[in-house]
Amino acid sequence: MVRFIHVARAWPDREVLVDVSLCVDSGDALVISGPGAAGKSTLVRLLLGLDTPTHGWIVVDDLVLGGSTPEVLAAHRRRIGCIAQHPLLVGDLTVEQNVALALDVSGAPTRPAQSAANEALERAGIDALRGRRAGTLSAVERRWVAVARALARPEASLLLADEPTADLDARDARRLGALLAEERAAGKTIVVTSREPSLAGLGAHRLALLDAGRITLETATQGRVRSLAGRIP
Amino acid sequence: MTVASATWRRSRGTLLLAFAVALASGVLVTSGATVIARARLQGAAPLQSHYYVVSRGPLAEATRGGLTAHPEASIVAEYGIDDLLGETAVLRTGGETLRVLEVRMARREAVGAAADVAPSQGRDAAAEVATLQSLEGVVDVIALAPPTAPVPQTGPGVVGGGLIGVGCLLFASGLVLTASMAVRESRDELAVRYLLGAEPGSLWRPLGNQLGMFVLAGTLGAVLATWLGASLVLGRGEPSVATAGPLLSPASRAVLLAAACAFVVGAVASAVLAARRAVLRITDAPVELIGLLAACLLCAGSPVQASEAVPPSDFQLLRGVGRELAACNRNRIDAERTLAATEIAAVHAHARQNAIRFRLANLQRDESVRIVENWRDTCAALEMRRAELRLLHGASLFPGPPIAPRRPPVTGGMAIAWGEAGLPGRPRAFRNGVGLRVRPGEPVRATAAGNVVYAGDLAGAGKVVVVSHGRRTFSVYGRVAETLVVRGMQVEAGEPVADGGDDPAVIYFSVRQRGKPVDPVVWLADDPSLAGEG
Repeated sequence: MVRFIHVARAWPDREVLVDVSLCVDSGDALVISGPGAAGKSTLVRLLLGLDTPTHGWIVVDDLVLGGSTPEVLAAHRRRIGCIAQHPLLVGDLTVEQNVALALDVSGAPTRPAQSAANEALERAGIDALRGRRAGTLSAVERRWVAVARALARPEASLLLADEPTADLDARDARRLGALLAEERAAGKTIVVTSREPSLAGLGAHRLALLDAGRITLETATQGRVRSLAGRIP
Repeated sequence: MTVASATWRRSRGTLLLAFAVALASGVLVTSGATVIARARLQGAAPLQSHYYVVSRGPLAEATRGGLTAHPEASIVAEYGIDDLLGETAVLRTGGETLRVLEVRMARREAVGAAADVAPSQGRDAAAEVATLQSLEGVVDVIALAPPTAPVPQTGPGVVGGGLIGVGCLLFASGLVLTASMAVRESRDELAVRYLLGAEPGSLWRPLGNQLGMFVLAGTLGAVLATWLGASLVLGRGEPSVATAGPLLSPASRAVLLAAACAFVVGAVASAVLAARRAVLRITDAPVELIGLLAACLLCAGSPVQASEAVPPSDFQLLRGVGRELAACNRNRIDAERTLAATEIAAVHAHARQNAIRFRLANLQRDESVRIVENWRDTCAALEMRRAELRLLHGASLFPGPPIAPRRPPVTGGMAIAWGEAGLPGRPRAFRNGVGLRVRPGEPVRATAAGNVVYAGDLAGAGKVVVVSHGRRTFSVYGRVAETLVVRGMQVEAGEPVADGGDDPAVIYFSVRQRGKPVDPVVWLADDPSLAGEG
């Protein structure tokens, strides 16, 4: 369960988020859509605990993020599978090692971490890249490695994707949507930010439109989203 | 494995750089220091060679004899060490252990340009010192200061100083460069680990691994550099660090030692940190570990306290004093060695006509003498204490009440006397005891009150009964027909312990005190109750 309660984030010169209130129940999916510089990535950063709101609270499951210690925030991040906008990989490690790193930081032993990483690579369809070094990958391949890394965490309760389809074509975007739907079926909460108001393959989900830091619209179903698509600025 | 291979792959270039920088700067610094030290040594080489040959007092005659075998050596004067250093108020020992012979060595006349003179002098001096040192009884050979002050040589000083400066600059810049490269190289992994929620404490592991490897590479480079630097400057004939060591000034040696220590400490500390992180990561339960450790310490502490509660026996005290005495003796020997070393230092200072150093050496010698005297006093006190305890311990060697009365086990006479076993016609089986005749049907009785500790068959001795009488004394009855007691039974003096059998026979009887057999007849006669009656 993720809950934004009157969250605001302001820089000295401008307000990035203004009174954002959102709620995603466990096992639900939310797509936050909006134009560039609308505050989507700030929301993701806040949700990861990389930033703190100027006002308001963010509650993830039973944890209120503001004012937590670094150890608590680290434990919080270990419960999140994250696909960042610009996938951050360790260039000197192989793809398999990069994915296994997600389990390594949780303290998992090497062998189970490797098998979990291989399983995630197969699910993401990039098991052929297993031995390649991450520094030699293309943008699309890096994106899929980030997806596999997010999938490799079985204990994660939240799957967070920031512009996951930015580098992907329609077919790959649909495949990614289907993967997210599988994770959702497994009980994970899905939060996706995207310029596109819908993510093909994800199935029924809720939509929040973000514009200049404010929630302008919040819907309940995918069908409704389609009818509103034309109104998105 | 993964982390190590990734660290190696990521930072092999930087590692090589660290190694190269340490190597190059080490070579420069060592070379500079060696150039200066060699120039100083050559500048100080005397034109006429006079030496103080320090010899042990009892062997001084042998040293004089050895010197006569060298026609180029002549003894100018001879001193007791106190003649040179001045009598000190507290000096009672050590001073007379050394004799100092002032020796003049005739040297070949150097011919040629001034530039050629210095190396030949250096070689001659080394050979002369080696010759003198090889004589019997010689403790030290001190080259006396030349009558004229050496001409200061500015050239080697400037070159050496420049080399050291460039080396230090190279090292400092290399250190900064390597550290910044290490940070840059591990930045990605740090960011990813942070994003993935690594524990804040473990975030620096990649950087720590990398810096640890750099420290190791730097240590390797520095060690190699010392060797290379010394061998480059000293020439092909002397390619070892050991030859460079004595040439360097104490300050340079201290700096090199400090640098090497810093490298080693860094390497060890990084290894310890890595191990600590690894342990924390494996257990995930440092609190339990600490609790377990504390429990172990507490458990270990309680027996110690318990043993402290019981007053130590005389024997334990004696052993403790013995250990203490041994430690004191070791300290005394060390202090005496130190005293000898300070005396040598004082002679050196006198030879160099360095008044301040001479005075300091004398002060240090006085202090050493005081320390030696202290240790000697302590040792003497401990020796006395040990003698007292030995007396006490002797008195309580056989704790317990006296063993009385003592009775012969059988009424029959002696068949095989003490010491006869193994002689011609006497069975060897009765060694360490006697053979006693036993009448048919007569029981074998306990010689004194005690506790049966063995009753049964024993290979080679038939049926055997062993009775403990306390005071570490046992009586043994062997070759009996039947045992009448079992282990653990208390028996009184004269109580039957075994059956002699229906036929006339000879039983084995032996008495052992503190593990050693004694003549049973003497033991029986030594009955304290009889002595009281007598």
